[in-house]
Amino acid sequence: MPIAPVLAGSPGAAPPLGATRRGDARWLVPLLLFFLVKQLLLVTIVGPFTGHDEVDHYYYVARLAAGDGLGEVGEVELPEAAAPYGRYVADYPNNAEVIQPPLYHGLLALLHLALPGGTLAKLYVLRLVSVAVGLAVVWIAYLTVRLLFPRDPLIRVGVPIFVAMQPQFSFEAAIVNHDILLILLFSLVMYVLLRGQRDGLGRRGKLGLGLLAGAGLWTKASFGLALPVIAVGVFLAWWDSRRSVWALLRDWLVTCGLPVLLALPWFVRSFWLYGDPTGAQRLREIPDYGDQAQGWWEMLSAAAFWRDRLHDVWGNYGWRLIPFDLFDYRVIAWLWAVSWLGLLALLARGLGLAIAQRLGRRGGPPAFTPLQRRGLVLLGMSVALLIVGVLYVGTIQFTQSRFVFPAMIGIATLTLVGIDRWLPARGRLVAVPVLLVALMALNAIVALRYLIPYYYGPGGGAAIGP
Amino acid sequence: MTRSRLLPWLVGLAGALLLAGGAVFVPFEVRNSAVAGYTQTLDPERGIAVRGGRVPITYPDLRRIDLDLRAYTRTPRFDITVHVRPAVPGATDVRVIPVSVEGEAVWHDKGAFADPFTRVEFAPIAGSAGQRYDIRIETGPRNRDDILTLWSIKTYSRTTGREVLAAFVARAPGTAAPDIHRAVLVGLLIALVGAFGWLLGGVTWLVLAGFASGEDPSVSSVRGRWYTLARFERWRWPVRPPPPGARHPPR
Repeated sequence: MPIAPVLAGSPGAAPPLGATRRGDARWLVPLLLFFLVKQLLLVTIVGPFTGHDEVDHYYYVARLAAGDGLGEVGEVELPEAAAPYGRYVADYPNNAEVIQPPLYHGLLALLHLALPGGTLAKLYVLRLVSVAVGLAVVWIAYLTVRLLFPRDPLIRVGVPIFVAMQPQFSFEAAIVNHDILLILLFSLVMYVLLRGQRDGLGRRGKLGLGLLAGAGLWTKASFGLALPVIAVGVFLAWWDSRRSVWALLRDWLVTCGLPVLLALPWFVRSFWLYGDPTGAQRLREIPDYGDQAQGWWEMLSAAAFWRDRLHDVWGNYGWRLIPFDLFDYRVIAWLWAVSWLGLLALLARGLGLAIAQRLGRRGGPPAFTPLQRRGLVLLGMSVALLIVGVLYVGTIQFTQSRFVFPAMIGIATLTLVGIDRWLPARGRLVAVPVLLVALMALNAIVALRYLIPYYYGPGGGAAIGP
Repeated sequence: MTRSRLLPWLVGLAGALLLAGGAVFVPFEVRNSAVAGYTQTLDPERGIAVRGGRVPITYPDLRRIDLDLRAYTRTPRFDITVHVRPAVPGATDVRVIPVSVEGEAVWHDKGAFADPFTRVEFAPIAGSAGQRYDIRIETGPRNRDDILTLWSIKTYSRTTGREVLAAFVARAPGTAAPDIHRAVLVGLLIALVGAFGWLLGGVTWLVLAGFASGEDPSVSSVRGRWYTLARFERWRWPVRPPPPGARHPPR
């Protein structure tokens, strides 16, 4: 049942100037072009096979293209040609990535088969696929915030800019790694789910969610962390529709049961080979790849753990090859802290309002429309669940913040909402170019001070040529 | 062309020029290539930290090294001499820099958010690109018996973006038709600057359109702001009645 007019804003009100599709094209088209050019440069800047797990992923693709089958962790070794890049492999000479579901690799294998040229030429073409997928994610970021915050320029414009210029997301979208497909599928699921909150989840929407989640599980088992978010989103949409409990169960079956059913063959295979559905136990057994932390509390209670997570979100390209200097991290941390403080203040105010209403007092107007509240809750939930995923990985191997990147749109939205609410109304408009210039400065500094000099210099660098 | 139409173009052009000018001409310190940003000095065979390390330098004008010093004896101050010497047989020190640091600043057990590095600057070494240097610390007479080690070294050269970008264009992978390859890379760099200018112009248009419309987003949107409650005392939700049978928020 469509509920858009009630939730999205003033009924019948015309969109604000600049918020029309044509108005948005004025900045969205150059943003997409900017992202495309930046990514093409990044593909060239980043030395071959130096992305995290890029060696493993590439040779997983090559293996499938050659018809050598899926393989088993511990038994599949990387070819001789990978030897120069051994220091970028987590478990050299083994290919640990064959433990992953093969959707991404299978799709790229078709392209790999069709491509002429040698290994490096193919690697760079496969990287271009990541660029295209990253471009789609930026587009979905725009659609998502246009859905939730059509009248807030800083959020509507700022979130796609944030996503397009976030250094580590950009890195993911410039290397061969299944994480970028995971980010796309996760972003699509969130968009369909949020649209369902506004327009209702029709039969096609629910089936789409189920299929997308199924594709996600065939890309990486950690996509399972999206299922609780889907379940909650479907529940909220069902609540609006006032249908029977049986209808809710049917909806859950299609959106959460179907993907598990679709991915079951892979989980059964992993269980058969490794003794558990994801193969995590096998990874734990790999020497020098094993437990980083003895338990969750060890990570949660360690300041150094959270410091490293902050560093990972913004810097530490690849296997922590290229960190920023501490000063840069501190500046980013302080600016980001302002945003998170804003979110906490909003949360506190929301709770205060809820209590005031419960006590029969007015308490002032809410800060968000119900659709926005729902959107923020679902996006926040997705970020929180993926953080749990980061901690879980920490019990298997040394973990990285990039495992939370499937929720990049959620991270960007929460960040911009936190900033938006600190600023006076007219200041929010001016904050859009300020944000753009700040992120451009960050990208330029990172590229010129750290990234390019790591790989290239007049006296050499880390890039290994053909 | 009216002023409101011209301004976004001017801002975009200015932004692009500033980006290009800043990236090419503004001098800054570039960090030399090293895995994880620094060169570790651990002696893996003996399993101990040592007082020196060998660092590869990829840019000319090496002028700064950051030392991760760790002290294991409590001392108010450490007098240190830093020696920089080319890693070739028979070479002598090219820089000798005396440094005095507080004992507390180099105590080995540093907090998670503390900066572990001590910054040492010296006159630039012009021909440092492509060279390797041995960096060694020596404690002064009053710290002879103190235990001070060097965990890792970061190195920096003074340069401009022009040199960094030139190195990238000259050395980026791609063996077939190197001239075309370089021309494409230069074209992409120019396109990046142009796209940024266009984007900045588009965003400027958005800002101008917002101001020109006279809209106050905080009033026009159906939301209050947590810090401007007083403005919304008389505010009401513009709720349209839900369709029959539907259970819609706000509830």
